[in-house]
Amino acid sequence: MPFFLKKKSFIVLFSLLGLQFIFLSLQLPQGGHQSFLEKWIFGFLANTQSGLTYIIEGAGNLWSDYIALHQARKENKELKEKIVTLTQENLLLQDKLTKKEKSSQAIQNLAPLNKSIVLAQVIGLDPANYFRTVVINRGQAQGLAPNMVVLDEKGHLIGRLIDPVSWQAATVQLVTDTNFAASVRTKKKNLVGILSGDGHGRCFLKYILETETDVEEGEELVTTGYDGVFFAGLPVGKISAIYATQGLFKSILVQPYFNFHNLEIVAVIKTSPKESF
Amino acid sequence: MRVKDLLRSLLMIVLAVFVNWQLSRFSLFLFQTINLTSLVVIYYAQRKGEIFGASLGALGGLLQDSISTGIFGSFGIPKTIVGFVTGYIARRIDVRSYPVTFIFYAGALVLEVILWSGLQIFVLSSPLPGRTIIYQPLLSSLVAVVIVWAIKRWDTQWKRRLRIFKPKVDNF
Repeated sequence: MPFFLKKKSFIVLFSLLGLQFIFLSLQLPQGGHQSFLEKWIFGFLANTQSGLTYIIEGAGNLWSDYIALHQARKENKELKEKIVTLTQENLLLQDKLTKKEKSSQAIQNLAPLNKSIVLAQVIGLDPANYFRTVVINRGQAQGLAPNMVVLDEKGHLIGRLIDPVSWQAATVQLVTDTNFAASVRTKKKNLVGILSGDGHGRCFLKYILETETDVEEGEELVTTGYDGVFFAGLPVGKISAIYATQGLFKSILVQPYFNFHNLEIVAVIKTSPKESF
Repeated sequence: MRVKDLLRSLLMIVLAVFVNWQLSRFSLFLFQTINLTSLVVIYYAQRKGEIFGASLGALGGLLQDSISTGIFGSFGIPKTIVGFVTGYIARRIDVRSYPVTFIFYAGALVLEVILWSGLQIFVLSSPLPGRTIIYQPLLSSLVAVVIVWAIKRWDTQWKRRLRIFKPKVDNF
């Protein structure tokens, strides 16, 4: 018997490592699917984090809200949130109006939209790679579910909700995640491709043929809505660089519009493109 | 080991995960460079030995894995090894002086960064977010030295107070 198996401490170490390698290998073929245990722990930690954020924010705002600035700060916050809601509404409406022939029909469809926007605060980043996901402080309690679209304050696409979504917290997959994919088009030339993250804070526009000449730097990208997840016309980012390759497709780098370092409030659109339009 | 110690260490590891997660809301740099969860693992491994260090490392790592969308175990495995190695070394050499504490923590954190990055790149084929992580051993070790100094100081003052308020027993 090898010497390290004679020692109790080594047996414990190998047992712990073995158990985790089993966990790891069980998940690898499934990719992003999370086990019940993982979901349960996430639910517990994320909801506690949500509460903790609420307490910290509350304590921090006590002085500025009630003593120093009285009502001004509160009002400012409310107005800011209103601006975010209105920006999202405006974007959805623009898209809606382009598709509807009669304006009366569009007005009729407006009413439920206001209720379909949920504002949320970012309460934590992904410890492994912060360009992959963020956690927000709204969840099932506000009617959130996977695949809902998430936008920033100015209506730029941030990503979509993915599992796990717990009672008071949800995970947002960012456009900068390598596993993210959305159908997008260039705004001027209508060139359609797939947007995916590079894991370093930027994105790639994929499947644009090397022979294509209509694509140029600085061009804006918007969603097409073909994927059935994202609304059509949501601004995503700008093409920052185009590289020629030896392969079939160009390598196109995209700088997303949303500012990762200033990501505080996000808007979740509860209506899916299929339901709404 | 007393139940009180066990509960205290569990509370500390959960608290460290939360504080680290809260840091992400304020500063990306601090979030990447201050690894409080590992500091707690190393601190307890140093005092309680390699079995406790490995177990606490596994727990802390798995807690971090559950708030990440990555693979369950990608934080757990490096932390288990670091907990074990630091516990094993601490029983053989004296790491109580501040310069040695700094080197000890820095070495352990370098090991963790290498293991974690290796696992991410070679096993999980997942890109690393940036180069900021290379500052983690240095900055986290500095934080560790400050925390160890604060604990020692608090401990000394607490013992002194206990001595003052200790009732004198008369011998008849």
